[in-house]
Amino acid sequence: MKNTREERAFNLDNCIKCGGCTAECPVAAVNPLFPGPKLAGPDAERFRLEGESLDSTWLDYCSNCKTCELTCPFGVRITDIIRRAKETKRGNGKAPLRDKVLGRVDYIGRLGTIWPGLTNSVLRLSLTRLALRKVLKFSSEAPFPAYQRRFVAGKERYTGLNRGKSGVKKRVVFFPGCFINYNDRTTGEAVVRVLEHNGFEVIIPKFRCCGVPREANGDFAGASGNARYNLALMQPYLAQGYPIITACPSCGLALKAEYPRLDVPAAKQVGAQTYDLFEFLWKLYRQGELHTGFAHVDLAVGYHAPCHLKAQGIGTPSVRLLSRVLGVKISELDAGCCGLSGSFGFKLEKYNLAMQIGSGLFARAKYGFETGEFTLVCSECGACRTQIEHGSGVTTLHPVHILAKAYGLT
Amino acid sequence: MWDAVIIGGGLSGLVTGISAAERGKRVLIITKGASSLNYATGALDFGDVQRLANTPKHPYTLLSNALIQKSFTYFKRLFPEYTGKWGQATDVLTPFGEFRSASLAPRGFEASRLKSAGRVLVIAPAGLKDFFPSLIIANLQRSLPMAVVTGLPVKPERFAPWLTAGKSIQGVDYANFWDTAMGRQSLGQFFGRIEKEMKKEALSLAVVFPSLSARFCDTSTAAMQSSGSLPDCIQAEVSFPVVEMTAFPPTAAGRALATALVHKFKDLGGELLQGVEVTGADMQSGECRRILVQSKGKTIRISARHYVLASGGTFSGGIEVDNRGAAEKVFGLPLYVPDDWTRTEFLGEQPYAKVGVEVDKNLRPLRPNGQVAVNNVMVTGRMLAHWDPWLEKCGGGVSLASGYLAGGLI
Repeated sequence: MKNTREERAFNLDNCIKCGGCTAECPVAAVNPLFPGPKLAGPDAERFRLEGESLDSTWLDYCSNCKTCELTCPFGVRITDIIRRAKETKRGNGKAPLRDKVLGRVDYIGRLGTIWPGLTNSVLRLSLTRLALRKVLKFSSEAPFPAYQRRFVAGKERYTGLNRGKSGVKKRVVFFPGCFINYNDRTTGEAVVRVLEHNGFEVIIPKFRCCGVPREANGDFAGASGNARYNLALMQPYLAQGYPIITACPSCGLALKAEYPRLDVPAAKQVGAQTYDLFEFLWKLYRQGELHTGFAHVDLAVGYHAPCHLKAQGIGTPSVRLLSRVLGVKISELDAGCCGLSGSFGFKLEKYNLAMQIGSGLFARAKYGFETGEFTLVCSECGACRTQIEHGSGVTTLHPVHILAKAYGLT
Repeated sequence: MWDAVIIGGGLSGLVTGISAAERGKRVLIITKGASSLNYATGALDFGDVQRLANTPKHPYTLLSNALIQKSFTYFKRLFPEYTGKWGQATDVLTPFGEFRSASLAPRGFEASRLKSAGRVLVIAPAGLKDFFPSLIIANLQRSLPMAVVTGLPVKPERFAPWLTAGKSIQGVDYANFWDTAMGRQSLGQFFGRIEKEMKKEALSLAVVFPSLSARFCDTSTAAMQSSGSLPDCIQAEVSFPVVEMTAFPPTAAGRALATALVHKFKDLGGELLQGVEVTGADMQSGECRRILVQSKGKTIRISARHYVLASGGTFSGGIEVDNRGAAEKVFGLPLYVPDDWTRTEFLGEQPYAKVGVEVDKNLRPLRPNGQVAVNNVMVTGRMLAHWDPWLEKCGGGVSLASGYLAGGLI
C-alpha cells in the first residue's frame, strides 16, 4: 500500500507534541511498556527515518484502535506511521505461528463452521485451552466467539427475496465479513432482510476476508492480496454505481480507508461507494426513501460505539435512526474501547491488558444492566460484542436486529 | 435536517450544544480532535467584565452584562462542584505553585485556603509528568512566608512497573487511578496517616495535591458511584484543606470538564462527530445550504437550519495563517486582521491575538461594510475578533457567554 512523501511530511510536520493522543490512548493507560502513540509514532519516526530503530516492541503494543487519530487536533495519521514501521520491521522476517493463525480468520472460520457444534465444544475444553496456550500462546481465558452455521454457504451469491422479481431496480452489494460469515449468520440475515424490506436486491459475491486480521498480525502482503481479490469482485458493481454495504466497522474502515490506497482501478471508487449499514439507511431516511412503518418496540439498550466506527467519521447513525423507533430507549455508554481490538486480546501476553482497557466499559454495562437502565447492549462490532459479553456478562446484539424487529421481520 | 450543526467541540461549541439540546433541539457537534478543554486547566476566567464591556469592539460589548452573568450562573448550575462568585476572583495555583486568580474553578482548586495554614504539605506523586515539586515548594514558600512548606512523596503500588520501565505517569492517569476503588482506598489511608502525624504538630495544616480530578458531575458515570467527585469526597473526610493544583496540558481536570460536557450533551440527545474536518460549505444567496465534511472515503454533506462556527481561531485551525494572510476555513468569512501582527515584547500585547470574525449582536458574521455576511451562521468563542485571552484573561467568559447566547438563538 502506498504512502506518499507528502503524507509522511504532513504527519511529521503537523505533530505539535501536545501529548493529547497519549493522554487518550487506552493501551498507554494500562501498559507501562508502551510509551504511547506520540512516542511510538511521530517521535520515533524521526529516528526511524535516520535508520535508528527505537525499542521495536513498542509497535506490537499498538492495538490500532485509532483513538489517537480521533484525538489529534491536527489530523496526524498516527496509526499510518505505526503501521508502516511495523511493516518495515516485519520485512521478510517470520511471523509467529500464532499470528499466522489469527490472521487467517477466514480459514479458521471455514474449518470451524464445518461442524460448529463440535468446534464450540472442543474450544471450550480446558485441554484445548491448555494446548492453545502452550503451543500457540493464546490466553486460556480468551473469549473466542462461538461458531454458527455459515452465512454465505453456497458457491453462488446470496439469493434473496427480491432476486429476479420484476421491477426491482435497486441493488446493493453486501460485504458481510468473517464475523457474520462464521460466527453471526443471524445478523447477516437481518441485514439482508432489512435491505430487501426497503426494496433492494442484495448481492453477496464470494468475498475473502477484508484483510484487517492479516495486517493486524503482521501479514501485510497477504492483507493487500485479499484487498485486491475483493476489489476485483467489486469492480463490476462499483462501475454500475452500486453501494457496498458493511455491517462490521473494521471491514468498513478497511474498504473506506485502506482499499483506496491500492493501485487498481476499483480502488478509486470503493471509498466513496462503501457505507456502514446504518450510514446507508440514514441516507435513505434523509432522502425520504426509507420505510418508516416502524412498529412500537419496547426496548431499552445501552449502545457502545466501536472504535473503528468512530474512526469512519460518520458519527453514530444507528443511534440516530433507532431513536426514531417508538419505544426504543438508547443510552450511549461512552466508556471507551472494549480492549479486544480484533485479536489483540486473545493473545497470552495481552489478555490482561485488554481486560484492563475494557474495565470501564464492562463496569458501565454491568451497572446499566443491574439498575434496569437497559436489558442488553448493542454495538455494530462483533469483536466488541464478544468482549463486552465476556467482561460484563450482559447480552449483546447488532443494532440491525432492533430495526428488523421494528419492521416486523423477526 | 438538523436544527443546528456546531463546528468545534471546545467550551463554546459544547455549551452552545447543551443549551440548545436542553430546549429539545436536534444538534450535531463536529470536532476535528479532542476538545481544546483537554489542554486547559479546568478553571475559567471572565476577566474584568466591567472594563472589557467598555473596551471598543470587545466581544463583551455585544453581549450584555446580564447575559454574561447568566452564562456564569448557567455553568454553575451544570457543574455544582464549581465555585466562584460573580464579580469576585477565586485564587488557584499555577502548575509552578504560584497564586493566580480565576472566576470559576472546581471547589478543590480554591487556593485561598492555604493562606491561613501554618504548615503546607506538597504531595509529590512519584513519576508524575511535568510536575516540579522543588520549584513549587520554593514558590509557595515565597508566597506564604508565615508557613512551613515541605514536600511529601507518594508512591502507589499501581505505578511501580511504570517507574521501573522509566515511563513517566501522566496527570490524567494518576487522576483516573485515584478515582478507582483501589485508588480511593489508598488515598484514604494516605490521608489518614497525614492526619495522624500532623496532629502532633500545633500548626494548622493544608495539603497541595496535583492531578486529582478525573471526572466532574457527570450524568453518565457519576450515577455509577453514589459518591460525588473525588476531591469533594476527600474533602468531606479530612479535617484540613486539600488544594488541587492546575497542571500543564493535557490536564486531568480539563479533560474531566470536556468529558462531562460531552456526556451532558449526548444525554440530551446530541450527537458528536469526532475526528473529521469540515472542509467547506455550499453557500447560496447569503445563506449556508450545507457543509462538507470529510469522512473516511467520502465527503458527506450535512444541512441544518443554523450553523455555529466555534472552530477555535488560529490555535485550533479555524483560522489558517500563512505568509499571505489569514483565512477562515469553512465559510471563507471576512476576518478582522490588524495591520501589524506582532510586537517585540513576547508576553505583552500581540495584535495577532485579535484576528477573528466581526459579528452583530446575534453573533452573525459581518462584512467590513457592516452588512451581515451569512444569515444562518453564528460565530462564537475564540473565532470572534477583537479580544486577547492571554492579556485580558477572559477566555472562559467570552466562550461561555457567546456559546450560551448562540444556544439560545437556535
